[in-house]
Amino acid sequence: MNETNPFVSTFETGRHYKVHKSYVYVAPIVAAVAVVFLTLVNGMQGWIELYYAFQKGDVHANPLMVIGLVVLVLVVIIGAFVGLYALAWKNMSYVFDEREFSFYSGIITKRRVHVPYARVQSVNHRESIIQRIFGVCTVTIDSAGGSSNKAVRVPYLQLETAERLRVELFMRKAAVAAGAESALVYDPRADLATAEGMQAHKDHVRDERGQAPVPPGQVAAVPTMWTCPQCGKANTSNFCGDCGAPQPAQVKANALDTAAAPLGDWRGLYAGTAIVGEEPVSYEFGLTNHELLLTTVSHDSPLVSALIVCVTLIVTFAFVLLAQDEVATTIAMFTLPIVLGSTLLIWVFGLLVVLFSFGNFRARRRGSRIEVERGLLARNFSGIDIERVQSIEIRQSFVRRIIGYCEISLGRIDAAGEQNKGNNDSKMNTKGLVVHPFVKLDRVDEILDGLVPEFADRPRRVDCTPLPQPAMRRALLRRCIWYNWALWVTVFIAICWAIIGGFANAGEIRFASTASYAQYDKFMVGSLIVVIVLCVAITVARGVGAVLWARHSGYAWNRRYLLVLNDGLSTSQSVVPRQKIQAGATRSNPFQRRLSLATLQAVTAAGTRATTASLIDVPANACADYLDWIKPRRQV
Amino acid sequence: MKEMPANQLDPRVKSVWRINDAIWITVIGLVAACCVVPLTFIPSVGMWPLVALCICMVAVYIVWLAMLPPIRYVRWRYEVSEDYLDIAKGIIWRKRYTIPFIRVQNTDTRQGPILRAFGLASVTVATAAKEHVIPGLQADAAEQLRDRAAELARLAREDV
Repeated sequence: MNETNPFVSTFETGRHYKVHKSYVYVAPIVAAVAVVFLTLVNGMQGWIELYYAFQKGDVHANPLMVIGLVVLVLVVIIGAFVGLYALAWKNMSYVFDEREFSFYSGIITKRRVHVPYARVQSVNHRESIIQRIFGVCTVTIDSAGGSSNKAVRVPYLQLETAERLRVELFMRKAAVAAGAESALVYDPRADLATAEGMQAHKDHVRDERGQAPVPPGQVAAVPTMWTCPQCGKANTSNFCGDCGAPQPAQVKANALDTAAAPLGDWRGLYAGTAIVGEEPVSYEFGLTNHELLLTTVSHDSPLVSALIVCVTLIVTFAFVLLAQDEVATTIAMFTLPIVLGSTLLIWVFGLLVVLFSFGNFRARRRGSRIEVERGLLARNFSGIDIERVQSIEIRQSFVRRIIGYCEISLGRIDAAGEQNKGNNDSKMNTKGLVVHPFVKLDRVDEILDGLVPEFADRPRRVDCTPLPQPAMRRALLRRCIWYNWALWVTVFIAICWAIIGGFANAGEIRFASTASYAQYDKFMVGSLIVVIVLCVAITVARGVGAVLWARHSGYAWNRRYLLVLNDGLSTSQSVVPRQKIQAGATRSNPFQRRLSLATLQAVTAAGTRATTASLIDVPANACADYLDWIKPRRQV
Repeated sequence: MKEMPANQLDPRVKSVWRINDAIWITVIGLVAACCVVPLTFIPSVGMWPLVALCICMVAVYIVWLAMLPPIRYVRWRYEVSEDYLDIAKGIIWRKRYTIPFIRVQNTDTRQGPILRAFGLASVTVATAAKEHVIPGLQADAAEQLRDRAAELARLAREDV
């Protein structure tokens, strides 16, 4: 980087840049394989019938011919996809203009999406496993504005280009903000799209290769480049050449990261070398061994999916077994192994998914941005500007609450476009940007101070005002009776059974010949007992949650931040800056008004639509103070 | 609880609510009638489902057209101060909103056919998170309020 001029551009203004060529042969193969797989699975019945038809000799055709035909169709499908993607590639380009970034696409309908530099909020990229092999990624550019704004997606950029693109966009944004667009200098030597740039890149790669070969298993032996947090100079020795500051301590790594270091360092066939000259990193952390392991084990999603599979299987088997015919007696033997086996399989698979998605986890603070990188096979890079952080959420699930750990995430405005992709990642991103998936409660302050020092004067847990006395009674009533779905389901089932039983007694329902009334009676009483036991268990759990909630929940605000703490079996703590509260609200029902209580709500723009942090049963006068606090103060 | 916001809606909004609710209740009633009428052809059931439905409908009409609008009108209050918009509404669940103008992204007026027939309009104040609607104001008063809110939002923005 040129030190006299901070605005050195590596993309030529006005030039049309193409996405990487692998778009033509990698993307269509992924799509075609998906299509072919779906047709095969959907047409399974047909294939089997065809096979039997051949065996019986019903079809007078050469089997080889049929196979040939199928292969031909496959080739045509893949060919069509490649052709389509080639056309799409020809029509796809991106341009850096004076004041905005544009992305052109579309074969028949031409599309052009503009993002003015001033509105660029975050530039993220993500690599699927296949993209990872080739070192390309899909870049997402988020612009300001909530639900109506879709993110711009630029597919199949080389990793190096994606990183340069990010730096370029933020640099041009800074230039526009400083009114220094004319100061932009184009440096063709860093631009891979020019002959000069290509030559410089080749020289660079040759220089790197010229160094002593690294013995296998000793990845860290190469002097790694680090950037001094104090003066921003890039160094390779242990102390900064300019100000003599020591190199910051190495980021803690875990066994998976170490074992997978070559995998983590693998940037891909076409990735290019990592760029230098980004803003310095002021704070960085990874996950330790046991943090990664416990993140995986205590994560909800594997457990939930395993539970769903388990219950579905049990219900299915129950119906088959109830029939009490020959099939049932055959299946009865296999019930337990099948249910246990499948549940275990799904659980382990879910664990692996979580393990891989949080493998190689890195969170860092770079300049004004917080960046999170994660994923062992598929990689995911997300960044967010500190100005765009809507809230800090500290959450504990039930398991994590017991062992005293929590998850920290930053609330952010999600673009509507991203949510449409129904993959695992978007599900994990719905909770905002997870900056630490698993951390001991007493380390939360340390991490937040490093990552977001701007939030240093936020109110803490100890500053919270507890809820008034009546909250406990009301919470117990609310959670154990009014909003207790288990209770209402039980009541509903009991009423249904009673009505059916009544009709049966009156002889208005005739039973099938295989079952007698006594059998049905037994079944009903048995099932009702099971349901009631379940209901009692759930109600007790909800009651415990209600007591915990009423005892430990609270609210606090100071000049700049609101803290809403909802305790219970699982807890959530939201810190919302006053500037990010779009509207303050209170609501009260007649019972609350009688006790002069109200519900406090803070509406922020986080998520795709809006997020509301709320706390039930805050004293009414505190709620009035809260609304006063929301009002802008001009003198401040 | 603290004092209520100063301004009320235009009294004609009660009629707008009545017409609006009457349309909805009638539509739902007709749908329900479609389900109930076939039952009356069963000899053992007779006419009582239809009678019950009619009684229900009359009760709903009375509650929604005669009782609720005046109460709702009394409860619905707003105030535009220099820095923020204050809204109080709700009969059983009473809500109170404070929307600082610094956060307001755009304000506009809307006029449906029923509102237009009464010469009324609604003002919508949108933040990055949610939209807040002040439903029934005289058309030119709504226009003035919109302009004022937009102006205040602009000033507040410059202030920050």
